[in-house]
Amino acid sequence: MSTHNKLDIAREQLRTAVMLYCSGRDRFSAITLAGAADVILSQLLLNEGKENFSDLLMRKDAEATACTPQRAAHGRAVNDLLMINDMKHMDHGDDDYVEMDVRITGLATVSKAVANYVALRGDDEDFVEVLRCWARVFTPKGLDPEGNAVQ
Amino acid sequence: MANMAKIRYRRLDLAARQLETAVWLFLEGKDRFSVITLAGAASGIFTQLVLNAGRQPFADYGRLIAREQTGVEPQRAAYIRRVNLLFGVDFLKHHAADDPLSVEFDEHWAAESAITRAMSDYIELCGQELPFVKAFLQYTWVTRNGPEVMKAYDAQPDRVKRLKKR
Repeated sequence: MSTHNKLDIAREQLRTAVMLYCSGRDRFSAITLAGAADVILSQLLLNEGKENFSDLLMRKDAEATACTPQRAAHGRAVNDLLMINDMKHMDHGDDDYVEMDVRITGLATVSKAVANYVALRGDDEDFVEVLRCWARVFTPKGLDPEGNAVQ
Repeated sequence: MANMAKIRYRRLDLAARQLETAVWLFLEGKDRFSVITLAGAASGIFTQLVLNAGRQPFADYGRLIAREQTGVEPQRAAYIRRVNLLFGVDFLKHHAADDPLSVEFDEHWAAESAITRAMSDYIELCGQELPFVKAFLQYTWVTRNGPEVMKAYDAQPDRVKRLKKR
């Protein structure tokens, strides 16, 4: 038996997620791992009295709509958008197929978790630099609404 | 994200891909936490797919073994929750405000166990021909002394052996 810090666990999951995503080896697994790490990192940020990425999105939603969403409902909506639950769960009656753009969904999931990690512990880790380099090469000016790199 | 270039994927393929990556990480000696997370995610899909195919998932076989040992057959959802806790699947993807900041568990054992559960359901659906399946089975046959395990299984009463539906 060994004792493991939750932050260390999330860091390892996120490092593996970034490597799987940026190498193109397995972007489905990158979503699952970044999604798991993000849950831990989001709560660790709240424990330190800091705003996590979901809260930032909620605040922007509230500013745009003058209506503050519930944190749990907002979190579920983001998870659904990123297909995180579809990657780890199937219920009776669910379709045998799912439709997704794994390149965009994976990038969004990994980026969200990395943003939370950086807010918590800074950007010194190797995987933060790997994702940054990948983005500079493949999406130097960001993405358009259809998920294509802006030229 | 409404205009993304979406592709249709079989859930079976999503789960199999995650299991294959879990096996690769495990055999490479890499990140055990990710192995457990990925194998746990694959199981969350395989269980329903095996049920949909009219076959017996790992969870249902385990419930029958639990009944044999304790006289009580747990509900499927309760059994799966318990196994997920045992393998560390849950605390690797959850963290509540009042949860402890550290956890204690044997990550190598948990990783191997989580893969074994998912692999059992994958084999039920797809057989054992793919290289990643063979690689994991060969690894456990050697490291867990396969002949001794089979000898112990053969020594079980027929009543117990029949719990596994073929």
